[in-house]
Parts: sequence; structure tokens; C-alpha cells
Amino acid sequence: MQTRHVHPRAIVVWRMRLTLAALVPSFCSALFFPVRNWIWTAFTALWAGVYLFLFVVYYPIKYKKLTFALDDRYLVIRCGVFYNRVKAIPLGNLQYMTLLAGPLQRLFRVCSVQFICAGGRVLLPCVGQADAHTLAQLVEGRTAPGEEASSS
Amino acid sequence: MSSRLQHHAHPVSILQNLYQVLYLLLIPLIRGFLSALQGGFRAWLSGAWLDILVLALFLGVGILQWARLTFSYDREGIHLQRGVLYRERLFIPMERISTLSMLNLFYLKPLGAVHLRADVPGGSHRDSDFSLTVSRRVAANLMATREKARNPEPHKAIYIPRSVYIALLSLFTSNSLAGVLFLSTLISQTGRLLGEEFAEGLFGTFETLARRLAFGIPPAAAALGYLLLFGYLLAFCVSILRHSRFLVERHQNTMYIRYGIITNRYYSLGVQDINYLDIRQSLFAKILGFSSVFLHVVGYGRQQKQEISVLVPAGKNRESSQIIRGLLPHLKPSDITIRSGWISLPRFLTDPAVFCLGIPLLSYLLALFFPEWGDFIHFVGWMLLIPALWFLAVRLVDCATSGISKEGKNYTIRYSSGYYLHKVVIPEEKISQISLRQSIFQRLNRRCDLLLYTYGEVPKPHLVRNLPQNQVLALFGLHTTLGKERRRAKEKPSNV
Repeated sequence: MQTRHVHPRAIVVWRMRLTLAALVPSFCSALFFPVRNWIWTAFTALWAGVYLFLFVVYYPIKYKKLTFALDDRYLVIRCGVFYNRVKAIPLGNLQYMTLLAGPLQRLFRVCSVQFICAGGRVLLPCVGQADAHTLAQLVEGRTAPGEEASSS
Repeated sequence: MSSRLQHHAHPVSILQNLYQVLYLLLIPLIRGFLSALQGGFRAWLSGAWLDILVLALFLGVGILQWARLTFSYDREGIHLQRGVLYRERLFIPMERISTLSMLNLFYLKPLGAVHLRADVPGGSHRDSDFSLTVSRRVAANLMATREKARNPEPHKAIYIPRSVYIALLSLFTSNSLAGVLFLSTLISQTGRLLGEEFAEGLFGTFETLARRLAFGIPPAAAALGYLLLFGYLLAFCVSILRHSRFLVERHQNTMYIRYGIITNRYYSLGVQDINYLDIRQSLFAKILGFSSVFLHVVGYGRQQKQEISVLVPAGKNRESSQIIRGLLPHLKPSDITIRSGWISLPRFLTDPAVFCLGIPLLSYLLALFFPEWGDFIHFVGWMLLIPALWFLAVRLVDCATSGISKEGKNYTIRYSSGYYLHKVVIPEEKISQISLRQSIFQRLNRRCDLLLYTYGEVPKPHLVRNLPQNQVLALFGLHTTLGKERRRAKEKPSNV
């Protein structure tokens, strides 16, 4: 299986999740600081800054760097924004894998794949459903490694 | 209908079962309290039938649980049935058991009962997969059954360490906190039994002693120091008692380890189930040329506060190597081929430098804000600087020695964790994940930190700092995967 990025809709999912999470600090700043003073300004600047940074910088880089590949020995995941990470899981020690999909992920027809090893687990977020099923087949040995998943 | 002989747990288990339904005793307790408030002794006596009923129920539940629990064993595995309302059937295949252990606890000895535990690689990391109090005879038979199933040949090697090595192990592994906790529990329990005055008297004596033995240092600091020292000595003595009579016996496929005087511990470990071998040294031990060897097998050393997964308590480096060659020849460490090297010095010294510079700075600032505590703050600051400098020394040695190599099907890694230097031998098939981490600074000179995760119930990473990335990728055979990946990524990154 050649190197793949996660699904392009992953960025949309992450950004939407971030926007939903941002409702909490925005609600807090409205509720707890009825008078606009320096604390309100600092608090709002902080969360808005973090929000903008994640939205504009962090998630695009995360998407660009998040790739996965499978050969006859390893499942290799490359990721990381501040740190470059390479995670290699020997296929012989892979116990099983789980497909996870929240409401947002289901809406955008993507899912996360969790690989369970004897002594750890690795999460591959927001993979396209076709890729997830191909991964499942390859890992379970139904399809010989090296065969390409049909791109949709 | 099974033809295997069905066994019950030891009758002392009834008392252990009762512990789970202790809440039932609240009923007679509350009734007694209400009777005392309203009608006195006569009113209480008139309703005594309820108390008797509850007590009968209390005992009945315990006995019923004991009666409904039966187990049997043969060469295939252990079968267990239990439960009154909710029935549970369990089968643990003998070949899957990585550790079978027998704890002969001192309070169970007069009753002829032992605590039997079986662990497989999986399930909860806190509790054993199978844990029962059984008679000593049944436990010994079960152990013998497993032995027959796994070892057709007699034993191959035996190792009994010298007593001084047990003392050295206790010296290096005892910690003050355990001793202080043991001491405070002892005093508070004594106070409960002999009256609070006695406990207060003990604390008072300690305070007076600390004041007299302060020798110019602040009394509070002296008290803290003496408490830690005393706690350490206590933990040291407990550890010596726990690990005395240590014996390792290697058979064809199994290794037997037994130790203890007051509580006897007996473990049967599958040799193929050993996840890694850890040769551990503190800086002090390194200077003296001593090392301890630990094993990682699921189920061995499970109770971290009371058990240590030790193979060789202590020994001269050459001696430890000989013992490893005798007991586990397939896990012989190899010489490091890929090293971090002195170029990595900044990566190794960053963490200790934070402590070495931060502690004096913090104590100076605190003394400025709280001048009346100045003496105490400066004293504690200087005292804390000693472990920080020790940590710095450990990291310096680590920088000179850390690295990785591969010989046959085993990887050998050298790294430090806290105050200990580790040399770990991991069979290739026991690696569950290889993770390379590269910071912005490491990208400049193409270095990376290696995190090796091994088999086990809990993720356990071994961190080797600042290794040359390309050499590490080549060692694990990842350069081909990532090489292809890079080439393809340059051509056209494919999206779904």
C-alpha cells in the first residue's frame, strides 16, 4: 500500500470540532466578564489567538504531515507538527484494529482507525472509509500486502 | 461431565468473601444506634432477631460464594466456575500462562493456605487473571502439573546470590517514602490500639530528638532529614527480609524464582514470555562496577510496592554477565554500534540544567519574599541541588554510553531513566511499536529520539536520546519503507 494522506475532509472535521470547542471560552467570556476590562481583553485575545493559530496554521500542517503506509513488515505512520514523528508497528504484533466514527466524522464519511498492539495503541485520525476498509483487509491478511486500495 | 478433580478454594476464602459484603453489618449497627436513642437495652433485645438474621445472611453469602466456586486443572489449563446469581466460567490455557505465582503469606501459613495467581499477556494490568487462596497441597500440585507440561527435562541451571548482594539490592531499591508511610501507619495504628497519648508521646519524643540532634541546621530541616533517613532504614530492613533466600532455577522452558522469609514468594515464568531483560545500574553502582538484572514478564513483580521483578539482585558486572549466559543465553547483550555520542551533549543536559539552575534561582527568590524562612529555604535549596547535580552526572554518563545495536534477533539498547542507567535486551518479536521523534533542532543534524515499546499489559517506552536517524531507520529495516514513501510523496501525494 503506497503512502497516503488522510482524507482531505479531515481538515474540515478538525476545524469544525475546534469551532464547536471555541464556543465554550466565548460563552465564558460573555458570561463572566459583563464589563469589558483588561482581564476580558487578555482572556479573549488568548483563546481567539489559539483558535486562529490552530485553524490557520496547525491543522493544515498536521494534515500535510500525517501520512500512512503499509508494507509486508510494518504499518508506518508519519505525523507531528512541532515534532516529526515516525511510528512503525510490526504487523506481527498487531492484535486488532478498531474503526471509530463520531457524529462529525460520520457526517463527512471519514473515520479514525485505532491499532491495538500488545503494549500500546496508535490512532490514525480521519481516514477515508475506503482506505479504512482496505487497511482492515490488509491487516487481517485478506488481501496480500502491496495491492493498492481503489481510490475513490 | 468433566472427569477432572474439582477443588474448592481454601475455607479461609469465606472470610475474604465476607469482606465484599461488609456493608450488610450496617443494618444491625444502625438498628443498635436507633435502639440506644429510643428504648435502650430492652428495645434492642426485642429486635435482636433481625440482627441474627442479618448475620446469618452475612455468613451465608460468604459460604455460598465459597461453595459455588470450584476449579480444576490439568495439562491443558485451569477451569474455574464461580458465582451465585451470575455464573462465570473461565478457562486459562496452561501454555498461555506467562507467570504462575504462589504467595505463602505469613498469616496464612498456620492455616496451610497460599495465594495462587496466574497471569497471561492480556487482561487487567492491576489484577491477576486468576487469583485464589487455596490449600498449599493443591497449589503445589498445580505448579507440578505446569512443570510437567512444559519441562520434560530436569533443571539446567541454578543461581543463588550471596547475602551481601541481597543487601545491595535493598540498598539501591529501598526508598524513604515507603519506609515513612510504613512508619506513619505503624504509629497511627499503635495509637489507635494503645491510645492517642502513646502516639502523641512518640511524635513528641521524635520532635525533641530532632531538636537535640539538629547540630546547627534548622530543626524543621533536621526533622525532615531524620524522618527520611529513618524511613529509608526501615524500608531497607523490610526489603532484606522480603528478598532473603533468593533462588533462581532454569528449566528447559520455564524459570522458577523463589524468595522471602516471612512471606514466601514462588514464581514460575515461561522463558518464551520474557519481554525484555534489563541490566540496571545507579551511578554509584556503575562506579563500583556493580549491576542488577531485572526481567519483564507479565505477572512477575505485579505488585510494584511489594515485589520487584529481579533476576540477579546485584553482582559485579562480569558476574552478572556470566549469570545471564547461564540462565538466559538467548538474551545476551551485544556491544552498542549506533551511539548518541558527545555531539548529543546539549540534548542530554537540557533537563538537568533546568534543575541545576532553577533550584538556586527559586530558593534565592523565595528567600527574598519570605526572609523569616531564609535559613530553611537556603538549606533546602542546597540539599535539593545535590540530587540535581547527581542527575546531571547520570546524564553525562548516559551521553557517553547510550545507543542501540542488533545481534541475531535481539536488540540491545542503552539509555537512562531518572537516576538509573539501563542496558536492555529486547527480542525482536517482543517489540510492539517503534517510534522516532525529531524536534526542530534535531532536524538540523538529522538526529532523533527513539522510543521502543515492548510487549506488556501497560505501554512501556524505552527512550534512547539523539541517535542518527538514518542509521536507526536502516537498523529496523524502515529505510526501505520510508525511502519508497519519500520518493512517492515527491512524485504525487495520493489522497482518497
